[in-house]
Amino acid sequence: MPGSSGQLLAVEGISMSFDGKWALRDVDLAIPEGTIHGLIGHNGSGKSTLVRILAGYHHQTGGTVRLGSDVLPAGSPAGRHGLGLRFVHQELGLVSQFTGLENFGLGGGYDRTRWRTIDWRRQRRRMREVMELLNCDLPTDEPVSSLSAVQRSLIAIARAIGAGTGPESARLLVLDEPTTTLEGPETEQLFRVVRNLAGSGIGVLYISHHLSDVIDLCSEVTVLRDGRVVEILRTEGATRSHLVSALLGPAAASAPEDVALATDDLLERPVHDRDVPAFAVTGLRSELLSGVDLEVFHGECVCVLGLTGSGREELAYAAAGAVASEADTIEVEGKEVARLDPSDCRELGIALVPGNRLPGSMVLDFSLRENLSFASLKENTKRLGLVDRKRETAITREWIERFDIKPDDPEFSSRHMSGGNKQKMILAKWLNIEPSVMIIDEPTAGVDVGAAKALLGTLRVIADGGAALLVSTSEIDDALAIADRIVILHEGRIRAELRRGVDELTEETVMLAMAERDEPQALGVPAAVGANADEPKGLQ
Amino acid sequence: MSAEPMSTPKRSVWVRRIGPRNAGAVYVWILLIIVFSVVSPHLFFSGETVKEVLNQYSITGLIALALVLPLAAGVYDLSVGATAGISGIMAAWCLANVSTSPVLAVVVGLAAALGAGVINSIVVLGMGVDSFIGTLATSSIYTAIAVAVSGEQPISEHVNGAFSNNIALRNIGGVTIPVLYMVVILLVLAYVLERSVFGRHTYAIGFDPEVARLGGVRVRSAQAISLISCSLIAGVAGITEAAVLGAGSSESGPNYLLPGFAAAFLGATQFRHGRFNPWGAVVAVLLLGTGDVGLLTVGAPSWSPDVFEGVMLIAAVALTSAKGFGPLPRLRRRSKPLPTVEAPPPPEGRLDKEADESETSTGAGVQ
Repeated sequence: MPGSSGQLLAVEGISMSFDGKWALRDVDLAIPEGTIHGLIGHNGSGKSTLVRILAGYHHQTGGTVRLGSDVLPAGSPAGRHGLGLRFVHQELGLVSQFTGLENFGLGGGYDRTRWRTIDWRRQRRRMREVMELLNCDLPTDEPVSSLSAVQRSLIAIARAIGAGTGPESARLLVLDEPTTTLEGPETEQLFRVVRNLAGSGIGVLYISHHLSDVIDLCSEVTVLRDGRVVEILRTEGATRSHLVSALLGPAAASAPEDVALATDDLLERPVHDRDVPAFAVTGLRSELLSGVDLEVFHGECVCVLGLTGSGREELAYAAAGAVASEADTIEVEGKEVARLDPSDCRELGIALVPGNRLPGSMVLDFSLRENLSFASLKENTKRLGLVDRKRETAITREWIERFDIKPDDPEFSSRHMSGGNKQKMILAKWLNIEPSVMIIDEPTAGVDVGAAKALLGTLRVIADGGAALLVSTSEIDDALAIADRIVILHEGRIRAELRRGVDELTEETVMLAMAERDEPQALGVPAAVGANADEPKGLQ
Repeated sequence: MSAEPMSTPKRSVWVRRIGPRNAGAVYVWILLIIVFSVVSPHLFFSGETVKEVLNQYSITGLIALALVLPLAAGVYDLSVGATAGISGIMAAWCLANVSTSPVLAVVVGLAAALGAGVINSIVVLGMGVDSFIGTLATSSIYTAIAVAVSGEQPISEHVNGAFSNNIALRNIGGVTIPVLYMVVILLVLAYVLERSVFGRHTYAIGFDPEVARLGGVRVRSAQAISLISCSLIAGVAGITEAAVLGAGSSESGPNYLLPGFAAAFLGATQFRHGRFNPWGAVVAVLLLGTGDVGLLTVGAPSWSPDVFEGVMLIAAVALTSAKGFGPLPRLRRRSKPLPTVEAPPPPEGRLDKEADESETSTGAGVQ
């Protein structure tokens, strides 16, 4: 048992069971003041249960949590705030139409004048103080919807630290997956702020799927597997593969193809003409894109990378005509198409697959069966337009078995599935229409390492089977794992293209191609970019 | 992160399906029947009461059924009452001024309803006016037209007699014809919403229009179909109402708006985990009808049914949503391309229910 003395946060022997199943068993965690402690674990490892216990949403079956000398009481999320335990969740909980300042007071409480109106002057001063503590400058009077992803994250952090009782009382900050929406230099800006916080004595519990981030930022990391702590290690000198093997347990590190989900029967496709591009577009323009030419051949996987604002985030949707966009020419299987919208795409055998966290990927209120069959309903009807429920269920069961989707109940509510399983479901949903072209956005966002590997392997296998894959991703590693070609966007145009077998495909070459060369970043946090050239994420 | 799939042990599927959480209204309904039967065994507990409830509430039932479709597709139609009114008036006007043919009257009445549905679709889907405001506005216009056509007098000429008898008053198996309409439309809607591709698309649109759109569904056409179908069913209700009253009146239709919505929403808490569904709507109407008739039978004051309806709606929805499936599906506004939504923080002190996303308890730390 780690002693509670000297530790800021001391989790001692926490266990938690749901309906007789152990989600956590005898978990210890100790965070000294002013340190950044990583917490990593698979989907289902008990990570989120632990966070929920800390936040007071679950009450543990056994064990205690101390913050300094206080034992955290059961329930009462608000009481924890008073004790100095603060949270920034992945969903930041900002009202996008509100300004930074308005959001700052939301949840933690606004300062009032003696007439009970909001005292904006005091509120503003308090936000300034917090920004000084964080050593960053954030716009206070613009709606957060107009801010960049990193600025939004920082506002959420500022709020957690400063809201209500003021910065002096914040003692431990729990950051849950803060970098999911951030890319490259933005991540570095966030890290700088987190380091500043730790420097001022606040403890940080940092939860992330991004192992290199954890190594980069944290001094120690706790690895959870199947509800138990399997390892607590210092990150100094630790490598990513070390963490991966700790996460996955023995028999882990392997090539993506080796862990692909069962897709053998997917390979039995008609052989397509591999000389004509399956999908080709020229002069693709949209809000963020200003003239992109792309072509994808059968059996090929093209990955698109780019920083936030490069147009990368819009590319998949623009290519499929799902957002307002124009193109000079669009060709599908060598035939010119006047214009595309999602409904045309379906008819042409083009699947647009948004990642599980993105709008439009799945109906949370639907069951696994209903989501999985949604794109292929028309193919599964009996006479009179009746949906063939039996077939639907049979198909769902097939995919559950093939992709090892958990839980294996077709009627299970999609809302309660884990990120990896959601992503498998979404992929299966679109594979049901037997697409010849798949346009995929963020295939591994919010998916744990093991499932991500399996998904990437599966994508590679699908491409090898003859489908044309256009994958837009913010994960360089993903692109490196599966791409035949990597296309890099910058300011709405293609800046570079790297081919496997021709160019060297490494993290370094890709990052070099992606990095800003022309001008320093104007992202609201001064002097953040390029401060640390040897950091893996610090571009330039 | 952990999926915590503990909320659906398999053994309890049937228990849940017929349990009070999923079918609370049915239990309340049975309880009401028992209570009224005990209090007033001779007057209440009889075949006559059953017929009375069915006959009197079949038109409310039709309005509630009409609303199920657009609500499932994520659009409001606040003009159902006015649409019913204008259909009834047009049918009566046709009988009085054009021809005594009941068939023509029905055709004219339905044409008026169709027109109302098309206008609603144009306003809401073509012009992009939010459905709540748009149909509130058209409702006012339709009511005005009905008053103008009727000249502020109920039109009863030629409405009494053959039309009335053939459309509404004739008995079949002890109940009047409108009950039959209700049953037929119930079955058709159940078939469409729960069994057809269109139905699945409709629910997807209501829950998340973006998923439907990216899934290749023509969202606005489907919503237009649901609005127009709603108006047509409301038209059937309005024509039937005119036949039951023996007169077309501009005042009768709008009275059905509130009970219709109450039943549709109450019905959504029944049987289908928060989905608007025709079975729930009809059970809700029967529950409300039984309570109203029962109260009047035992000699409660004439205002009591209104209180009863309000209390029932709140109680049933609260009971069902408090423990089971979270709030009713939010009705969303029209689909927009890929909005970047920041989740708003939850209300303070909210207990983390299973209905929340297992991965992210939003804003937990900022309270």
